[in-house]
Amino acid sequence: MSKKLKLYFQLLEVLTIRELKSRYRASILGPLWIIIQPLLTTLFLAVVFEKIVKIKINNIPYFLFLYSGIMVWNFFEQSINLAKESLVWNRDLITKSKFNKEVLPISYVLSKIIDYLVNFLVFLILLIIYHFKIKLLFFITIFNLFPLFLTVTSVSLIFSALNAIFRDFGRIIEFILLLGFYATPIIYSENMIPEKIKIFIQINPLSYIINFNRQVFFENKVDYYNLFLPAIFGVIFFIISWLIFKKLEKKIVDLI
Amino acid sequence: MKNNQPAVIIDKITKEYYLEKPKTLKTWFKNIFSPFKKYPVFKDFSLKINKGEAVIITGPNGSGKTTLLKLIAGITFPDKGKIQTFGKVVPLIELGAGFNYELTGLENIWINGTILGIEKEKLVKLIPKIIDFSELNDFINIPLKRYSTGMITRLAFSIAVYSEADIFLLDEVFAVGDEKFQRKSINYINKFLERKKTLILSTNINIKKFITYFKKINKNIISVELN
Repeated sequence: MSKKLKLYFQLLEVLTIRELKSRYRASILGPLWIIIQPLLTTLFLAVVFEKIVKIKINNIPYFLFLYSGIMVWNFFEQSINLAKESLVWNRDLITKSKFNKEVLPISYVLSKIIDYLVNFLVFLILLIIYHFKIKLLFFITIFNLFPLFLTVTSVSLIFSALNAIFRDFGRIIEFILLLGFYATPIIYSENMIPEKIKIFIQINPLSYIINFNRQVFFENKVDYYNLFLPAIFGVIFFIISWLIFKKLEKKIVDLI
Repeated sequence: MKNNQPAVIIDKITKEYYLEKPKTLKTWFKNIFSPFKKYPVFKDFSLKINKGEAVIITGPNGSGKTTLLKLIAGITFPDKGKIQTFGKVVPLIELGAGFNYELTGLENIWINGTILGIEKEKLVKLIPKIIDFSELNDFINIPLKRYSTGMITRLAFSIAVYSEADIFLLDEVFAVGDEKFQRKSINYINKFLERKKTLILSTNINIKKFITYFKKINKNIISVELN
């Protein structure tokens, strides 16, 4: 490996560790928040949509159904919320030292992978509690991290750069994320959507990722289409957003 | 001067800075092709710096001292013209820029050292030396938020000292820490110059003091005044 590439990964590593350490060191409950947060979110949403709105999913406990979607969504949303501020928070570093700035948003996304893996284990425990048999097949969903990471990183790269140049953009992202939550099959399943608006689900890579996981967990079925399509999309999206970021990078120093 | 190997070549650069972003939508549309107001800092500016030279850049506030260092470091880029550097450039634009105050001194050495381009294997070996130079042995595992300002600058300077720079850029951060540490820093810089490395220093105070420091051992002092 060339010296430059080695230093690049070293920088990603130290920045990811920095983020993990500083995030959990100052709080009392610390890493426990990784577990508590999605459980509480799922609980609240389950009360609203199962008991009040009365959504029914065939043969699947709604809490589990919901959690399997929340798990993916949380990684997406929390990574973006951190990454969008990554350049702004590190203004000092950007204006006073030389390095590839994309490592900042990427390191925040990487730090959230730990959370995702912890939540995956929590989900397996939930399955046991609900008397599901844990199968080796379930671990195939780990491969989904590849398209998920690429999608999240791509969005993060673009949002972080735009937010550094136009601070208003941070506010706009809040709305985009709110919209995204309801435009993703988290609280409902894809077949509940009317044909007419199904297109919005079909252009959303997160739908494929969540559907793939649910099919594996609840039907023990592997649909490679749902794995490879978002992966290919992810690679293309990543290249495009990388190029956009690199184009804006030189301007960011003077405009941030 | 016998040695004429170049360290930095600045060739007719122009650099304009954005003053402020347009506040209203109306001004936005008016300036759609050049949306930000600009202020020229450099116009057709050229400068050549050779290896082994100590360059002292002086000038009033706003004359572009820091900008010049940032341009040489490659942190920001000229709108026109070209800048070439030969060797590893280490900028100290502000001591401790990018330090994380929740983390310990040691953890910050890892981050800062990596940003200054020190590889893992080297850094492992250098860390004891960095800690020794900074005289922070007793505090290295304590979060930076408990450090005094002097301790923070000492840590930052010590990391930079071991970054193996060929061209060292100091922005008004020449003499930091207490008198003992200052003397150590000056000693280090003198040795640095003896090894035919390049120092570029910007300052608007105490120029005479600096020049006498350097003249003792090094005759290649160049003074550049910006206005």
